[in-house]
Amino acid sequence: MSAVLTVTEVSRSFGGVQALQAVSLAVDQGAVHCLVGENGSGKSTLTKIIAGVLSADAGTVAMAGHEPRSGVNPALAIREGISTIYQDLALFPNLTVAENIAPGERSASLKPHWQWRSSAKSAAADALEELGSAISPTTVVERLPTAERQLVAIARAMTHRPRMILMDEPTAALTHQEIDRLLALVGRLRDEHSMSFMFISHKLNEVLELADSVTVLRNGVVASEGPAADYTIERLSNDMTGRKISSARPTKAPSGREPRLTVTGLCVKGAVGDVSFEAAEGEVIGIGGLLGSGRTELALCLCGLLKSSAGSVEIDGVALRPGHFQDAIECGIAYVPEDRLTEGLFLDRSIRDNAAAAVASAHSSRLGVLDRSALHATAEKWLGQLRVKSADSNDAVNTLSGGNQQRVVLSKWLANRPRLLILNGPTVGVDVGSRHDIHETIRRLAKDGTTVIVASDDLPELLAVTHRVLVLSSGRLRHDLHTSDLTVQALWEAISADGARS
Amino acid sequence: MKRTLAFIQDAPSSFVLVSIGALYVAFIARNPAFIKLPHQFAILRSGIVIGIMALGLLLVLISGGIDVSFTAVAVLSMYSTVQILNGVNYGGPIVVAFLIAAAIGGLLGLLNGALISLLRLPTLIVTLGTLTMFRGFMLFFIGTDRIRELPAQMKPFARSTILSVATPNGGKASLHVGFLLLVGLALAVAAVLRWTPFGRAIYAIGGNRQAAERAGLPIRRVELGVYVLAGAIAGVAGVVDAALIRAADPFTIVGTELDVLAAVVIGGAAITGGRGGVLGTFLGVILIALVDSSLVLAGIPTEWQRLFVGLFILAGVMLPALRTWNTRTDPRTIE
Repeated sequence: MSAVLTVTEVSRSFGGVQALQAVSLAVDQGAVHCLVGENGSGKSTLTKIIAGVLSADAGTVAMAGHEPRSGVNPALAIREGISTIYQDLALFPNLTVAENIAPGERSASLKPHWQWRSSAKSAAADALEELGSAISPTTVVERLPTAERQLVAIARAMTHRPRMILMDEPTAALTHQEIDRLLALVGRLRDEHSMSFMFISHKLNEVLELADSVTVLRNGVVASEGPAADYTIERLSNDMTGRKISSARPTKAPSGREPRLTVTGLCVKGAVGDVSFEAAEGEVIGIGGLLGSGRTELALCLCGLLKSSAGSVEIDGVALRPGHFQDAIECGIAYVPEDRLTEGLFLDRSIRDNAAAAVASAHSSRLGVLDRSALHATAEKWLGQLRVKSADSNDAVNTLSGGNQQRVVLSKWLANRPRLLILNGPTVGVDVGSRHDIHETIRRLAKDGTTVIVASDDLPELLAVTHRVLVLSSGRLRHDLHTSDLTVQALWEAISADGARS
Repeated sequence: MKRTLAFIQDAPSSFVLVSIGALYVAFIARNPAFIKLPHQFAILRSGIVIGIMALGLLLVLISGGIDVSFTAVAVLSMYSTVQILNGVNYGGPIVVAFLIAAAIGGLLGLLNGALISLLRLPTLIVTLGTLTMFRGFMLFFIGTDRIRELPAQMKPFARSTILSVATPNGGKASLHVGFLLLVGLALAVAAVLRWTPFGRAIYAIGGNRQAAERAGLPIRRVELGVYVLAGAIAGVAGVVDAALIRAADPFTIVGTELDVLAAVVIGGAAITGGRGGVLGTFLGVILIALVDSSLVLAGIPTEWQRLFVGLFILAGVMLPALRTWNTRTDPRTIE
């Protein structure tokens, strides 16, 4: 079997962070190749280089029968036969389904203008029919639910009659039946049309079900590669993380302590329904669930960043006013957001100012004037404890690597000595070393009596740091599981089984 | 409530139509003479220049940008054209005046486009800068005098009408031929937006720039095209304005930026890009022309005029906000 895509020694860095380092792989014609790796392992960067959206610093990408390339030229990649479906789908929300499917097609085929409009509509209808979907080509995309938007993105990829389709996390937002249908379709296209696929995923069971061959990325380098038959879920996880995932488990849950956090019948309109649970001092609670399960909304609601529509949140017996973030801060709740770049940091300000941002009010005099030296001393203390690596804490935060940025966010909130720490995806986009340190910090804080809530879609992470995992689905609390007797497989089943029900 | 909102959001034009209807009822109630033809024609006439400029601005807004320099482009193009034609003592067809003004406007638009699309500078700041720059350039290098002697063929154009109706008191009510030009340009812009890949690419870029980039659309070329076209359209508007006031006045048009922006936004174009159409813009222009030219006749103090325009702008930007607010609930999750 001949290779349809050959990636040779591709490297790429972003502002000092090496995202990819000399990565090589080959995809055979008529084969499904899976690229797996943790968040931040370089999967998405590699996808973008293959799709011609990003340039490579070194190395080349070559489609069979074409010159190797390394620059930015998405239209060329499409002409060479690569269709890409991005994680964010890259749809035009304001245009119709047919028009969303058409732009790429036109750039690939250069049809005359007057034919384009009608051919777009019929091409869209054909592509959707092939997917077994009844979406009308004239619907405006923003009116479609997520799963149907995904189908539109897939249909768009199909209309290019590609030799290879690249899918970045295509199943993240789909239910079980929808995933099954997608996998069946991919299998059919592979067998009947000898089409190649490159599938990027971190859902391990999916990977093994579908793949002919596998490449595992870790921190921007190829950790292992080979036929899918050689892999088990355990081997995949070990190669992804570089260590035995079950090695680190938190110390035993504290028992017999008063509940610190009491949540009763909490509802958020359109996202969370009737969630009740308690968390004790020093306990680490995980919130798991698929995308759209209400996981993030629950975390946001607990700290008052999202207003609840019913129910109550109490800290040590004191009820919080819904939707008042300042209240939550005063009660000792700290929230570290998922997207540290947009939500958690003032990127252009210094590391020290960022670390001090949350304690500013505690270090001001009665007139509201800041005591700058005391403020900075507090900031430096926590930066040191979390081992943030920087030449000078006066440097701007955006000069730091992802893992160090995440630690700055953490120190910003730890400086406040929180009673309840809420972490949303604490290690998204963070390298393995920092990930380990952050987990270590979480365990230490819990040992010191802080209650920690970790909302994450990273199952090994939930198992590694929590005492209990709350599983959400369609906004409801479905399971309250003790971590000590849980495996990744069992947790995944608990999380995804309910996804199919909605 | 939800259903009414949904209705308004689905058809922004319906909101404008209702507003126009309400204003008509109010004006007629105050002054029955309002409905007479001379006044109706005057309203349409006052909408011609605003309307033509609104078409150019519509293109820019759909592409996700904003342009405030078009009034300066219109005046500079018009004034230079008149100077050039007077200088060579031109007596040929008026179409040449339009072509020259469009060419000058297009060149100025090219400068906007180059700064915005090639250097990736923010559109509001760039066009604020060029607005001031174009005006300064004109007043310093070309002239500050009001030129009453227009090129020969512009005079007949200034007097021609499409429709003339005798009024009972022996006068004549007539609709200026410039209105035909507005309608013609509107149809042309509508056709470009609807039926050409260039037009759809404008919507695509305004809707999701990153996706457009990934789909391989020629973003820079399309953006350049949008600003050149907007500049050329502004140039045409300038010449029409000179014909309507029968003089080349360097201080005309300037100050109407907000009226034009209001017309386009009320007509359903989103400041954030990707949304808007010619029909909505056309109705928005009628609404603004109605407010601009009729409050006096209806016996409402002119100070109110600004208040109305401001309110309409706010209403225009609130509608799309209501839309997202209304559809934020994901149908897959529970209530």
